[in-house]
Amino acid sequence: MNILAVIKTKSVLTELTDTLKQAYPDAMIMTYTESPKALAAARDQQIDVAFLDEKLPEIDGLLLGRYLRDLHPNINLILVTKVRAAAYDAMLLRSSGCLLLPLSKKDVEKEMRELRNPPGQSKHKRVYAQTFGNFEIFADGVPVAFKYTKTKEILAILINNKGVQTTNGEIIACLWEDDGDPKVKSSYLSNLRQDLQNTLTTLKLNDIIIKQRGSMAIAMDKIDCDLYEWLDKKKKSRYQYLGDYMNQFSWAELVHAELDEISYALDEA
Amino acid sequence: MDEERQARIGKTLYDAICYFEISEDAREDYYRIMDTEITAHGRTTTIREQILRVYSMLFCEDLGAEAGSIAGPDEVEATADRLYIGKADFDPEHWYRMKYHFPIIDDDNYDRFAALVISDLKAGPLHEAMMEQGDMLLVGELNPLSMSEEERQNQKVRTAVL
Repeated sequence: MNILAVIKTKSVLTELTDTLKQAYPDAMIMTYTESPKALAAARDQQIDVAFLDEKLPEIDGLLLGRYLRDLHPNINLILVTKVRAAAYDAMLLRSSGCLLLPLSKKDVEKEMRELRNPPGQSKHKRVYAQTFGNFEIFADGVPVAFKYTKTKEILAILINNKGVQTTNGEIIACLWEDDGDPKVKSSYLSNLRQDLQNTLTTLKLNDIIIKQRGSMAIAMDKIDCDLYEWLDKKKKSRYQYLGDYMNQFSWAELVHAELDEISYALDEA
Repeated sequence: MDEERQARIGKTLYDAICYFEISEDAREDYYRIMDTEITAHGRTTTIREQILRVYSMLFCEDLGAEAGSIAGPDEVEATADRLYIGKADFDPEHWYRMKYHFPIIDDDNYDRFAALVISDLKAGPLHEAMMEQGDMLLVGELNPLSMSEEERQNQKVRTAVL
């Protein structure tokens, strides 16, 4: 769990950090007294919980909360304030909670126990990827429609790569093999990536893709997938590999051998 | 040809970007305009490349960008934070990237951000505000989020004019 604490007063920040460290020794806790620096850090790091001082200079706690939510839609915001009336603003921001100063250890722990979006504990995943048979991707039970068919293939490539960052070059190689001018393909890929981004943004599913400069990966923990479940639970999985895998993509044929081997090993076990 | 380029990087492009996330028609308009080939200074280029050249010239000079170079994702991402409307503040009214909701700038949208700024300067509300109220697009120093509060207050700010 990654926790961001942005509190103007150093003594309060220290007190809060000590409480969090005791209660969550495995958590990564980032502390700041200035909101711009905290925002810069939040661009590079997943944030699960943010404690925000309402009275921060330059970017106040409420505004910082809005900016953080743009970056991390499932973030739990906890406003830290001196005045009870601020709880109303915290509610408008759909915060997870609100803490009154002076802080009490009990209240901090209570807010952490009752987070609005407990990290890593989401029972319901909105996206299901079907890889056995023909590849299809569903959001809330409905097949996702992309503008270009090749956009869906990009998603298939990322899912096939199981969370590994896949470079634009690797995606181009899969989509077109060695067919055509790489410069033109690069421009086409740019349109496909934008189509992917647009579609996921419209469905509020941006967090299923982890992007880096020039590469992308699927966030495996954000989707349900028959392949992943089968690889994890083997014979106990609801899904079983029966020799069909992403049938519509030629590059997927290369994966069959690997999946066949796993399947034979399971049968013999 | 210069007139043709000028006409295309205008209000239609600005509107297409503003509605990009909610309208298929806007996206079509955006891609069509950005991929349009034009001839500038005797060579064939696209509106996208031309915009990225202008963006580089206006905002990337102190990143070491050479004259006539095209801004890439790194350059646009590194300079987006330094753009303000009228006043160098981080609220959504003055902080350009937040006003137009670009929390992340990467390979997938850097050209759209650059096109937004340039078309806004040329034919959007920024252009109107410049004419009517004197509100200018301000260019602060690089990496404002990493500065101390005092450094930010004392940073050098210039105006951007097309």
